[in-house]
Formats: sequence, C-alpha cells, structure tokens
Amino acid sequence: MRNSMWPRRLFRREERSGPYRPCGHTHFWDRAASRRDVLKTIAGGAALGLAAGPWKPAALLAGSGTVAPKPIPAGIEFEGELFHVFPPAPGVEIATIADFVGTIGATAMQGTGVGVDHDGQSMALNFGADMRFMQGHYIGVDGKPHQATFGFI
Amino acid sequence: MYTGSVELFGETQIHDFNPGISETEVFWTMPIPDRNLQVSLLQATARMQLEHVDVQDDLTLADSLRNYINGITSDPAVVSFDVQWNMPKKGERIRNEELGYDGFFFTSEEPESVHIAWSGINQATGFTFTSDPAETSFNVFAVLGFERNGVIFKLDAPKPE
Repeated sequence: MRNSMWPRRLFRREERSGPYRPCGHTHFWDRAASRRDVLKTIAGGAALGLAAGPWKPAALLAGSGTVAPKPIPAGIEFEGELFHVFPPAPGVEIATIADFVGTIGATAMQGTGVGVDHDGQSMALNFGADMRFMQGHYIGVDGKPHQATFGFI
Repeated sequence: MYTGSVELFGETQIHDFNPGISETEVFWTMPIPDRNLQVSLLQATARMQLEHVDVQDDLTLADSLRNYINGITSDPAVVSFDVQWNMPKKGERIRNEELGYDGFFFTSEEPESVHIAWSGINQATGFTFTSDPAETSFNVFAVLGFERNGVIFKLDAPKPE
C-alpha cells in the first residue's frame, strides 16, 4: 500500500521508461550553473567555519561542524519546481541526501491530538507525520567524506 | 494538523511544522546529535527523540512549497517528538538502478510498527499542539534499514560495455 498522504501524481516520472525516473525538471539545467556557484560558495564558507549558514534552522547545527550534504538528484515536482524528496513508499528512495551510506528509517504516521489557539480555545485535531533519519557517512558539498546524523521532520 | 481527514494538500490542513529546505536544496532534513538516535538493525528497532527543535510552521504543505519557491518567510515554531520503530524482523535486499540506491530494508504497513508522540508551538501565533499518547498513533508505511546511494552506490556498479 502506498502512503496515502502523498499522491502519485506528484512524482517526477518519465512516461516511456517507467516510474520515478531521476531527471530534473524543465529548468534544471538552466539553473545548474548558478547552483554550482552556490555550492562552491557554501563549500568555501564551510572552510571558513561558516557551515551553519545553509541550514534552516541553524540552531541545532550551530557549532556542530556539520558540513552540508547534497540532495538526492530526483524527486517530486510541485508547480514546476523540483523538490528533492520522495514520499515514504515501497520502491522509492527514502534518503534525502546524496552520496550517502548508512542506516535509515522512515515512517508515515497518523494520529490525533489537541490544538490550542492563542485565546485558549482547544480543538481536537488529526495529524500526519513523515519522520525519517539518516545516520552514516556522506560526501558533503565540499567534496569530502563526513559522518553525521540527520533527521527529517 | 488537520481538522478533518489527513490528506496531502487536503483542504482541512491548518498547520505544517517542518525544518524547511536548505540552501543546498536538501528537503526538510537537519543534522541532529548522534545521541538522539538509537538504532539496532539486529532487533529491527530505532528511536529518535528531540526536544525544542527550531522549525517553521507553513500552515499547509502547499504553503510550505510555495513559500520556498517564492522566498517567503514562515512562522517560527518549535517541536518536540519521540518516535519509535519496532519493525517485523523480515527484511529484503533492494537494488534500484534507476534511482541509484541499494540496501537491506525492513518495511512494514502494520499500524503498530511505529509510534510517535509529539508537540509543537507556532511562536508567531501562540498555537500549540499536543498529540495523544504515542500508543494511539499508527503507522501507514515504514522503512528501517541500511542503504547507500549516489557515487557510493556506483562504486561496484557494472561497467558499460
């Protein structure tokens, strides 16, 4: 059973050769040069101890020395933009970082809980959660091997 | 969070807590301390716990993706969670040449394979959410395993003739 939270229509696929073909969207190559420049800048920043820069939020990374990883090349498309992620479902890549080797975990969860507005009014709510982790070694944007633990929240 | 059924891009979603997308385009992924994750592939179990993690609230998934595309700042938020995998000890080796990854994976669609308890607060609006106890949550699909991808996957790939 496919995770019902993620519709298959989102998946980037090539019609002729089956599902989930790892290809970029229409403007991918137009953007490639600038993206390389960005990565180059980030790699330079990492060398200067500024590796926390590329991340949101920076709080956990600050001082951790974690070098930014690269995204998986494929993913889903939304309004013409490629997002480097697949839903947790059979037969697709679970990791979100590229050039990675290590342990992974993922789950698509659902449940219930209580929300409270700023005025104190509470309401019963449902939730869906896509939670993952990746722990191991990866080639960072600096082209060097690193070890780290990542959470997908 | 949803006022109704949980559906991607569903009309009843009112909050979407996530860490955002990095400038290197890594999706909703953030480094966490090693000590906050315990994994045993022999037991097919794992536990990830974090408290007071700075994230953002985009209200809906569509808003989250559009905010990234348009460079719009999201509401600051904080979440805490405890998620535990207890997977059936039956795994399989998978090799996907098309996406460029392989590994050994335990997979499960059993509701009891994973449980989560979590809470979150939108620091801009003051909205808070607290999940019911973990045992009331249920898994839809889960994976636990060991994998490699990208250039590491290609290390022993067959060479073209």
